[in-house]
Amino acid sequence: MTEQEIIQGCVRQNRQCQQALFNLYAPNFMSICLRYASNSMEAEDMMQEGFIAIFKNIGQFNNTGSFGGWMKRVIINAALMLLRKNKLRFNEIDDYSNNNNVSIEAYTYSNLGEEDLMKLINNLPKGYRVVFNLNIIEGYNHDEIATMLDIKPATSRSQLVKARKMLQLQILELQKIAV
Amino acid sequence: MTDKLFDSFISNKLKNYESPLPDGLWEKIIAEEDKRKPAIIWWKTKQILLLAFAILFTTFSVGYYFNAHRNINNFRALVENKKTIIITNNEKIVIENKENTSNSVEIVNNKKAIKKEKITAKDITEINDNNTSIAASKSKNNLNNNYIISKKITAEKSLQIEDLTANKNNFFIDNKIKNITPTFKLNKKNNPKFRIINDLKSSNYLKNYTKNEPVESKETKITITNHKAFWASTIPLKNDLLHTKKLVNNNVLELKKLFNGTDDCPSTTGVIRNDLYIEGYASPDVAIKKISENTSGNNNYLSKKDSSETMLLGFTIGARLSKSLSNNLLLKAGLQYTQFNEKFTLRTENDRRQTIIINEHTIVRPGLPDTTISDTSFSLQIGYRVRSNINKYKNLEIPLMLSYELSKPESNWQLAINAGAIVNVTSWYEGKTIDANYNPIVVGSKSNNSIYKSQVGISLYGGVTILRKIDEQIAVFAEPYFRYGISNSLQSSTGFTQKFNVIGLQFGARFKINKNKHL
Repeated sequence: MTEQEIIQGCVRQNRQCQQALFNLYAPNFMSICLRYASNSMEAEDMMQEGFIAIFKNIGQFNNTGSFGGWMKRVIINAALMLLRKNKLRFNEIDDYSNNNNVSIEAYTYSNLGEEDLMKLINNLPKGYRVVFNLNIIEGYNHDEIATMLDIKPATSRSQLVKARKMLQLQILELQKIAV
Repeated sequence: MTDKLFDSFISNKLKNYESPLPDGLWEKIIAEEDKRKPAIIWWKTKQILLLAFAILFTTFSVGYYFNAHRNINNFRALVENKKTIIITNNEKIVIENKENTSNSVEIVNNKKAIKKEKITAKDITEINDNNTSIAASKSKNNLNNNYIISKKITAEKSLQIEDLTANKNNFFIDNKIKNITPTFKLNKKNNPKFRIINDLKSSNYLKNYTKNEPVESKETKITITNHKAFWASTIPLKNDLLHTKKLVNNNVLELKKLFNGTDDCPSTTGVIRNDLYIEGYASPDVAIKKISENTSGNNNYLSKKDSSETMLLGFTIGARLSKSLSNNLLLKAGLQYTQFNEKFTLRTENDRRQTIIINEHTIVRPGLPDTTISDTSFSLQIGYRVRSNINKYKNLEIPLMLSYELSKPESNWQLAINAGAIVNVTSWYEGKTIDANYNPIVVGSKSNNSIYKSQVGISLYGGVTILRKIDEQIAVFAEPYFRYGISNSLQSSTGFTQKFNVIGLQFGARFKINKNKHL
């Protein structure tokens, strides 16, 4: 089945096509949800809400852009909605250290697998994590993030800087352990 | 490493990264999606819509057939007589030329106000026994024989006849303009008898007329109006046995109005109202489940069962025949499908879920082979689990009831009280409930452990109908109702009884399907 046939089938609420769509995209979307969620149960809930929204609104996809991109936006919106429901807050958190410039050796990165990165991102406070994901991985700018999360762009910038620093510090800690 | 490079590294690593899916995620999604679908889709959309369509189609077809058929019968004689028909009410007419002749049929919908013109004594001429005219003016109060009313009739005029008290008189009205039907305004209830003869003087009709001779004219037609409306008919054809017999007995066709504002005729059996209707209806229902214990010691179980089951919106769809027994009383019987829906939700505590987590690390060192290290760990989550299901109680039933109409049958708005019984033909069930250990079990009509009867007895029915006539054949109605369940729906071996009471609101359409019976 081609992607177009799958889309047409999903518009007709054909269960087989819906499952084909799920099998095709769910692993990638699961990793997205795991990056936003605090635990795997929350990620499952995000997946559930996201796919229900996709199946419900697939008729609104107008074939102008990438279908995968459209679905990813729906999944991210579903994830954010669930986080908002679970009281997402953007609090200022004290830095781990006073080091403003974190220096990480380049070879450290070569040891970092995706799973490790996922874990490290999951260790970030919820507000940091969301902004970091939206900006660095999904590619939204701060104005867009501000609109999506109903915060000021400056808050988004500040959360990102702190998230990045906290992540780098965590990687540094890993580096020390490895040495 | 700069922030930009760091960001780029993270993005490249994770953008297209795929994580393993937890078991049962797809099933969880489709179950949740099904649960959120609108109620009507939930309940087997196709079957329900097909059933509703079939019932409505049948109802409309039967209603339409009888409606059309009746009109054809009413006006068939007119067509066969090859005459002009003048219609002054708004009734829809179906013309069918059964003779397959080339004669044209002209229909004039005369909606113009008709001028009234009184008949005076000078317009009335007595006919003696020899059937020749007596050129004398008669006093209106002395009319007691056969008379000719020689008033010129046009399409725009009606003749208003007053104070004709002697109801045994025959009046022959000379219609000097052929193919025009005059209209009479009768101010007396005793309905004097009239005969309209086209071009009376030139016809041989009077010359050959005797008092006891049946009327056999194919050339004439009569229209009589009452105060509000009138109905139209024709002198029937000679080969119409029913009508011919009547004509022989009475000499002149006598037409009576049954109701003001309707076009019905009394039946030949003398019953004043002889209506037969078919009604199609559908309703949303709210069922109220009543559980009570048969044997003591079931309190905890019933309490747990009660808290795990909640009734949802159900529905009824059906059709019934409605036959008038008198002016205001109707007997109704039919067939209907009823479905009660129930949500079963059971929360079990201390539900354990174990997830295996395997972390793989690859350590790269210069001059040495890469080393992959796998860490296996287990994550145990302890929480509660909610299991839910939609239980369905399905019933095929015969509604049997009497309906008493509080309004006059001819009223456009009608109010009626209905009372009767709903007799269950068959029932079947599918769903979940809890067992004696409070664990969920599947119970269905087909399973061996079914606790439900396949025939759940009788409910009492009470309702109020508010009906609005669209025309003489079609009406729509709304009927709020209450059903009281008097029979236990469970097997007698079960330790408790379960009955359903139902509140609902029917919406439907009613079609009159019997033909008008003329004299």
